[in-house]
Amino acid sequence: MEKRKAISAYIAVLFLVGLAVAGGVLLYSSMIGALSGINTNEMPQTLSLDTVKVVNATTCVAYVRNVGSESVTIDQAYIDDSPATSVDSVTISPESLETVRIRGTFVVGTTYDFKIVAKDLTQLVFSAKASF
Amino acid sequence: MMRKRRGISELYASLMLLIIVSSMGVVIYSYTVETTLSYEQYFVEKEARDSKRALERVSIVNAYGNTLSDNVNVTVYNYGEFDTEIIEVYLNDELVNTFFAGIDENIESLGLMEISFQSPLPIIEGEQYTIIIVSRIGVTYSYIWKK
Repeated sequence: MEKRKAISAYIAVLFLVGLAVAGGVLLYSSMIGALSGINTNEMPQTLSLDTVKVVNATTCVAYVRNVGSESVTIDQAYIDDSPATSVDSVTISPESLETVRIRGTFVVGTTYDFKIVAKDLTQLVFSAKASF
Repeated sequence: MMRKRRGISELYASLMLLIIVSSMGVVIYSYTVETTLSYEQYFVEKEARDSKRALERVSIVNAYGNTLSDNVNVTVYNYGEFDTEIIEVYLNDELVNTFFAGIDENIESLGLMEISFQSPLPIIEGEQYTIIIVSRIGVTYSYIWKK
């Protein structure tokens, strides 16, 4: 008869407990890491438009106020649902006003619909008539 | 011939599984509670802010200006139930930078406030101007003023 040797039950239990604890720590850290991005700091804040003016054939200036509780960074802009040529990447602190310059092509007498989008997906929609 | 194999007992195995399930449960529970509370706080604050914005009542009752000095005076009436403040003024979409009085000052409910400022544009007799005032909570009010 062949006699085979194995580790004792106690060592096996200790080994499995260690394995479970290590697995738990790994799972916990990965879950916290993955889920930490979902918090209220990244929830859409509130932007408010003071006023807007198309200043020339290529530039629109919007005075945008952050009435939320977290800073907001303007990231993208759309003019009549098409991406604007460019938009200033402006960070607006809570209860602050910033000037946002949106560049595109504007024709006098035409009303344009604007949408500015922040990195946290806060959006502000407004329209302005070009009358420079 | 039957071989005898050794392993951990059912009791240990059950205990280990119990520990694993319990720790996962604690992690998920604490995360869920924390997230739910954060969302609740966010929506409560947002609702309070939106309600205040909706309930604010301000109007410009009068405006006059000086064509020589380009100084403009605007009388603001707060007919809402909350106090307010005017923090920004625009004249024909131009931001006003120089104020003499009335800006950032508390306007009591049913109170009047005169805001005096240097116009960023020349004030010309017979011209029409759009005055926009902005309250502390970001509500805008506009007024067409003909000099």
